[in-house]
Amino acid sequence: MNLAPLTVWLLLFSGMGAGFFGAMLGIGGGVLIIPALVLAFDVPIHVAVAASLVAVIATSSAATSVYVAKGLTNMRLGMTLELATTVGGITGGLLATRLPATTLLIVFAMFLVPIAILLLRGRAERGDVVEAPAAARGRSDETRRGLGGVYYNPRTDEFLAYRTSRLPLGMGLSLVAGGLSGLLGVGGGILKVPAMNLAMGIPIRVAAATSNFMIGVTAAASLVIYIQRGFLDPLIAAPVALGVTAGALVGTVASPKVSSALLARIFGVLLLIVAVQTLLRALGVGRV
Amino acid sequence: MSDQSSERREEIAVQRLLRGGLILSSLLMAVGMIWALVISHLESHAVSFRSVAHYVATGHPSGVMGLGLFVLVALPVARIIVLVVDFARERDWRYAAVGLTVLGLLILAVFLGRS
Repeated sequence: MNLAPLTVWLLLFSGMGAGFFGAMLGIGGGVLIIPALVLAFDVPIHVAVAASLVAVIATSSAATSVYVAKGLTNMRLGMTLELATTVGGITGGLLATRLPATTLLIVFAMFLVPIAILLLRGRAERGDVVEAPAAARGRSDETRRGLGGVYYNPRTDEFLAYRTSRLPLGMGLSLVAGGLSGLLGVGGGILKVPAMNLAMGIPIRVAAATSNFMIGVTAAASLVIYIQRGFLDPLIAAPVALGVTAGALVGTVASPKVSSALLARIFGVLLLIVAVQTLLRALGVGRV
Repeated sequence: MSDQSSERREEIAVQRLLRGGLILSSLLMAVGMIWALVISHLESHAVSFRSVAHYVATGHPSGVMGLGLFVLVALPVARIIVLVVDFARERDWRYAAVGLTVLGLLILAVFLGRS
């Protein structure tokens, strides 16, 4: 199939939009770019998922290079949880590449609904989630040995030490997040960050940075499967990845400055409509 | 404290690797995309680890874009190798083993992906 030059530019700009709003809303670019590719560009869902996984690796690498320099990423914890997300990513990738497009579209549409509800209820907003419990604070040598760590909080201008708890639960949730990533081409941060924060007691800023760190490896594990099954199309994946990365960089800078409450509601409604559209497409209705 | 500075060294190594790799892969993808647009060779097709070398050798823009995509895929893998080497230098065998296991899982994915 030959693409029109305009289509290539539109892919780039769609990627920018998905990256920008994904970063602003804290849901990642994949959730937005996949339905755009399927519904607006008629890209087969498996090819769209592979392109999204590429974008996920790019944004994860970009974000990690920033967070790591700030000392926010807990790399030992990230690597440990990667054991689970990678297994999940491989399983999800193997499953998805065997599923018919129709089934995968239906699963994706169903996945959009809880995210839309989360946005409508305003839960995914940045700064809404509480910091680590006060009990976890205070410096201790023991945090250096285990999976805990120390991080600098610029808001309070102090170094905070934290410990991690309930690692098995964290591993279990990471496995599910990895599975979703491989199956649907999303980063899965929307699941991992609350899991690490609420289940394991990790400060939200560290959880977000560490989740980002893990997402690249997880996406790579499933992407190699998509590549070998012939779903990586450079002419679609390259403009999308370039666009999403650029958009996410701008969105990350802009996001603390903009109130996202209204934006989250708008996108919540939009995602519900998209979910219905995707479902209709899966059932063979609504194709123009 | 040596413990503190070794962690700092790991962070700097990871940051340099990811930033450099990202710039390289973005450049390759952008060059390939613009090249494809200029010569209006806009054929959409899949690339594999094997066919990308063929497309590069035959002067195909999708080969250059594919190369950029594969640099990107290799970044998380390279990041694990950098950390495993660093953990081993610190004799932090536990996390070196964790990293090696993740690496093993990625290699397993390559084999499992072959249909």
